[in-house]
Amino acid sequence: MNTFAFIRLCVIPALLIATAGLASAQDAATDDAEIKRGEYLAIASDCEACHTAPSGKPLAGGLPIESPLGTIYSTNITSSQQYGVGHYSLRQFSDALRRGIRADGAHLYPAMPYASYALLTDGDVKALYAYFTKAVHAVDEPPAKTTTLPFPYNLRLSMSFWNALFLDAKPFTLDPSRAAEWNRGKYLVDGPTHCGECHTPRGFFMQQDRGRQLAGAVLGSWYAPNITPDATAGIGSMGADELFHYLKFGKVAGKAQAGGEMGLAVQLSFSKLSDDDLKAIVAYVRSVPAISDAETRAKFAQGKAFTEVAKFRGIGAVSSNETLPGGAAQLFAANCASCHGIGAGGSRDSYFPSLFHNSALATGAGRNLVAAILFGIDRSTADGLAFMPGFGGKPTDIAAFTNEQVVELANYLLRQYGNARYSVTPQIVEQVRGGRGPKPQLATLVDAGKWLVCALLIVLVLWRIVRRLPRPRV
Amino acid sequence: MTDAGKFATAAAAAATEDIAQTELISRRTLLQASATALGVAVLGASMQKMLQAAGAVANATGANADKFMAASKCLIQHELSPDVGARVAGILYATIPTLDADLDAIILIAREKNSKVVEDFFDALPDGHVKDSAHRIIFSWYAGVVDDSPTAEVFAYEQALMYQPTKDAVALPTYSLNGPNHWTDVDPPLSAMPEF
Repeated sequence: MNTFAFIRLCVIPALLIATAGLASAQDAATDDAEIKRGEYLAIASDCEACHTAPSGKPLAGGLPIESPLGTIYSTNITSSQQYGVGHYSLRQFSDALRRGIRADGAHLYPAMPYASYALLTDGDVKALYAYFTKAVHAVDEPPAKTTTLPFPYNLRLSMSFWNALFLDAKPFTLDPSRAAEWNRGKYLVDGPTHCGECHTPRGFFMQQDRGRQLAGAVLGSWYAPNITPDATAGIGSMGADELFHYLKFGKVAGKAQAGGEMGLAVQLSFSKLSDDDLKAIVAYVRSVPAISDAETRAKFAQGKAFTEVAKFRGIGAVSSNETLPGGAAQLFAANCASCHGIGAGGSRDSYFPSLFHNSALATGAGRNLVAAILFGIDRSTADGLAFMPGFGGKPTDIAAFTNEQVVELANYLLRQYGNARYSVTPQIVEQVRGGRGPKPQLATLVDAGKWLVCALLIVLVLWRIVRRLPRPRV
Repeated sequence: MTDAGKFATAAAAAATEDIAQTELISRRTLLQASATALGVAVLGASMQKMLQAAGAVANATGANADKFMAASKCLIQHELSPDVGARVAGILYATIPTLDADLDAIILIAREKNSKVVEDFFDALPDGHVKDSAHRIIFSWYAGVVDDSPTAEVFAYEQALMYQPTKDAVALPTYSLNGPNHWTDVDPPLSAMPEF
């Protein structure tokens, strides 16, 4: 063949390859963009908080969640084909995320917040699918434990009735009468960041009470407070920029700080969202209906500086077996005051917060105070590490308070620096230690019902046996 | 001999008189008499102890703590904690025999001079135990101990006045000023002394 023909022969495939390369580069670019969007949504949805065991591999599951009905273990959602979601189709992934049905057809428990994720748009689900199946490092191990709840909760099919009643499976639709920022905020709050799963009180069947949105609820050891705009019971006296700062850095000096699950949520999720998204969340949260309670004083303005250390300073050497001459005040001075100040005013730069004018001592019947004493605080944001040691007696804790000591100290702190109407009991401390909230009515009734049914069955069987016995001959 | 002892002896004497008269004493009478004697002796002794204790309490009652605070406020123009004052009063009343009279003198002279600050009347205090007490009182409030002996009782540490002028700039050992590793935080200007 001549030169021109040869050139033609080479150029056309070369062009084809070049354009194909360009196209796949563009596909790759779109794929990359989608995966990045999926990663951002996974951070907003805070998948890592539940699907990563303590000191376990990311998203590999195994975290025990102490639900009021039993311990639920999270699953492996890495891209592993055998043990994760690597083999899921988009349809199966969407069903798991928004309808609570996993690939093998079994129902998920609502500890997986699919009732909130149901709001996710199709585009967002596709982005999450791309992220989880392509970008998450595969961990080819099953989680250490799987969930087995006691009867009758182990009948996952019963969740289909719960879903029929309480699952609103429609993706988010814009409200055209509201600003774009408000709509974005509503989508984020009710959907991916699922604030209501913790902050909204639950009804009889443990569904979110939609009429009391964000009005506060107990969640295991902690209390997720009322974050409606009510001036006394809620966060109405917190400004928009303060709430923004709280979400981004986990604290507002002189008002509140994030501990427990919220500390983790700030560290893994909120502190990494864009400023615009945080502003949208703030705008929506400050617009929900304000829900008040019997409290008349704002939770950020209770208590004042106080010390009675002069009553026991320099009196006798103290061994851990003796009763402290200064009582609860001495417990505070010996264990807490070196960071929180002898008058509980905190450190000069508020790194260690003051205990008065602190909502942790003025909300939720003191539950968060007890949890902070037992477990401490451990939260990292762009501001750095916020740390308080625990006093509950775990190997990493700084001291081992007994339940009685926690009760004594907590009641003293509430009386002097917080809401003096709260009263902590040893039962509450035991509950907080165990990580469970108070037993819901549903569980009590189910337990009673189980015994009742058993008893009835036994009576029935005995009656049948007795009827079959031969009558005694006279 | 104490009154109780005298009374006991009298009871025993009465019992012996009975014996001298009848020359025969029943066991019941003997038991009754000795029980009475014993009871009276014990009662008398405990009553004495109670009187002594009451006397000691009278030396450290609340009324004197109030007087101590009043005198302290004349001598020191800062916020003084009543809890710390009660502790200092207890120790100083036990160590200075003339303290009550000294406090009266200090309050009187301060009032006579219509003093607003201690410098207005301090020179007018008579030399001797009054001025010494005034010095001791000021020292105690500032140092958190009443003297610098090695066995002095510490009644104030973070509330001792000597730490207050720099409490916004200098960390009191044990207590935090800032969070961990915050050495580079800007300190307030030392010209503005904190209120205390």
